[in-house]
Amino acid sequence: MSEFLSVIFSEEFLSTVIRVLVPLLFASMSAYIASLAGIPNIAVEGIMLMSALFAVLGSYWTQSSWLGLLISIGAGLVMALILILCTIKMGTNPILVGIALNTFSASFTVFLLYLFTQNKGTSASLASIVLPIVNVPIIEKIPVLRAIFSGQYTITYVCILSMILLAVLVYQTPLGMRMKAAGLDERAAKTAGIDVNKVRIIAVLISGLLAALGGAYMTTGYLSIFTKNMIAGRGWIGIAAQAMGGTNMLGVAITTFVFSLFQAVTNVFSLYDLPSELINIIPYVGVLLGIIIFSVSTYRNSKKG
Amino acid sequence: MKKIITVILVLMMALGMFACVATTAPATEEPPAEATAAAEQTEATEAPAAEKIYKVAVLVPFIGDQSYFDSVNAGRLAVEDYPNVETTLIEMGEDKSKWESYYLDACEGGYDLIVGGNNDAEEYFYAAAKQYPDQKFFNFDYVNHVELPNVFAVTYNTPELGYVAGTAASLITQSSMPKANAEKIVGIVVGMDFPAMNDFVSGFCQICYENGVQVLIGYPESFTDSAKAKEIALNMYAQGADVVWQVAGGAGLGVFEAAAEADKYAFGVDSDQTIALSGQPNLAATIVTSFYKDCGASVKYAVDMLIAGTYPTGAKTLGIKEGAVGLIQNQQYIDMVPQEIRDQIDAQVAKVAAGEVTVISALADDAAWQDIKAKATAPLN
Repeated sequence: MSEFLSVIFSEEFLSTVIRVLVPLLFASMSAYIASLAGIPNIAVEGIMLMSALFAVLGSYWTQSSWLGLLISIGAGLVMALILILCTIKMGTNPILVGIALNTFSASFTVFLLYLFTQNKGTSASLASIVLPIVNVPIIEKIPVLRAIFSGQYTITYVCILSMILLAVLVYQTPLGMRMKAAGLDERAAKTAGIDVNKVRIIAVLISGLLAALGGAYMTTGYLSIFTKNMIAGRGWIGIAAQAMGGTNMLGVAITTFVFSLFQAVTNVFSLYDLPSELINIIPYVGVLLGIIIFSVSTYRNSKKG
Repeated sequence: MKKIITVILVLMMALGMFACVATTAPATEEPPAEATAAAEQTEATEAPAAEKIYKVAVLVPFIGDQSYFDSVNAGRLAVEDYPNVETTLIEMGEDKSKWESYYLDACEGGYDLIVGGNNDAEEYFYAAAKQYPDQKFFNFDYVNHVELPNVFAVTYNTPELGYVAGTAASLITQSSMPKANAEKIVGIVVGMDFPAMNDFVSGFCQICYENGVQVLIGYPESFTDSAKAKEIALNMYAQGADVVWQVAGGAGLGVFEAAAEADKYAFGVDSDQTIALSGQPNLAATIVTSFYKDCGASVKYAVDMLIAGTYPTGAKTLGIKEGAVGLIQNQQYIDMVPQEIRDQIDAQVAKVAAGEVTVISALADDAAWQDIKAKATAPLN
């Protein structure tokens, strides 16, 4: 047990949590911004998977990891555009489009993989290139901080930056306010003169961008090979975190952090001679407990009100 | 309102008709195809000059996993080269609810031999075999064999494979190889925690325990989540493991990523994984050797018997002695591992082949497996 605690309270563990956190945070923020504007985007998983593949293919085609990242973002945006086209322009139920995009993505990635690598499982035979690991000059010498802010993959820093920008967008700009308004009450927003469709299109595009970055993270550093179905539910965990945090961005971020903390603890626990069935349900039990606490508190608040 | 209901009802009925047509269509089309196949066969027997063409169907969920199913497919491609063999690869997909119909369709397809089975698909495989007693079946990797006169099944001595892998791992961790550390710890990343997978681990633990080496076992509980497998392997390396064996299919690629990042060793599984990783030389460089389970060779073996007219029935276990399991001895292995360690591994392999070692099987003896697992994973003092 002492050995276990020494692992948990180490700098290495902290950077593990960050590594696990980044894709989940992108996923939950992607779900957050779309649902803030009133379009629930459940295609996060599919967009991530598609972008993860295109990051590999792109960097292989162009032999440049940065161009690969751009191509991967492009793929994510195309998926978001399909969602926009179907829901906003043609009035389809966003949940249905989301399901369609997820199933499409799961199979289409395998199809593309086979097309370009003659292999249906992995991209291991492609010489794709990853983004560098960034060592920040001064911070890399400060204990604890260096585990979080130095020696991480490039997209981790993109993640930090995009979270700040997103917070500014949502809480400090008129556009952020309009998104909230469009999400809260479409008709009221329209009456107030907001172009609801335009606001929603922007929100879904940002959602696609964030999910694409989350997918690209998986194959441009964290891992270098695309494996079939490699997102493995991270998009869904992000959506669950969004559901708990609701319209509160900090709430969503904290929930996501707790999820990744549980996930990292699970990874450490799994090396001890404990029943793996029990270990692997830790993150999900964590989610369930979180939801119970959340519902109880909302219930109490509603009673007070 | 009534109108809408009528329209819906009519539509549903029309769709229902389509559904009936869709399900019955293949059945009505099938008999003529079968008849022609049968006619061809009788023609073949009537004219002895024309050789009989053996039609073989191979049913797997998918190919392209770089290991297990690809090895089966390699066996199929090997027999495809025979002048008198025609093979069909049937990829059933991952939706198990459809597998039964794939097997039944194959039984109606007029094949001489149906190759399929393995842990996941056995239920459907044996159900089809029961229903079609005249059809010959070959189970390329059985776990729960059902004795039927028309089925021949093989399994591989995975505990022996684990034992050999454990031998190599425990020798490397105690060696002075450049990336080996002082701690006597090795790791194994196993896709999921169930007996057929633990069969890889029991022999591994047994020899490591005998050699005084601690084993870290990690289950990502997924065959596709390579990120999780990577995190688990990174933890193992951080705790002092210098070599980790991946037995986790596609997810296992994450182990090689971890080995490259931690600058340590890894073992591959099922087939020579340095070939599969040709696009990523830095990952391939971490692989000391791969421990294979040659399903392809047994597919070829079964087809050979079929052609010779001596198709067997019953079940058979293939191990080190038969060459069905073992380790890849490529140039990279020879370059990385010093001669004396290779000799020691070879000596241990010879011992297993000669039957001098009793290897614990997690599948056959759960109590012994739990016991060795507890002993081998206990921290060293």
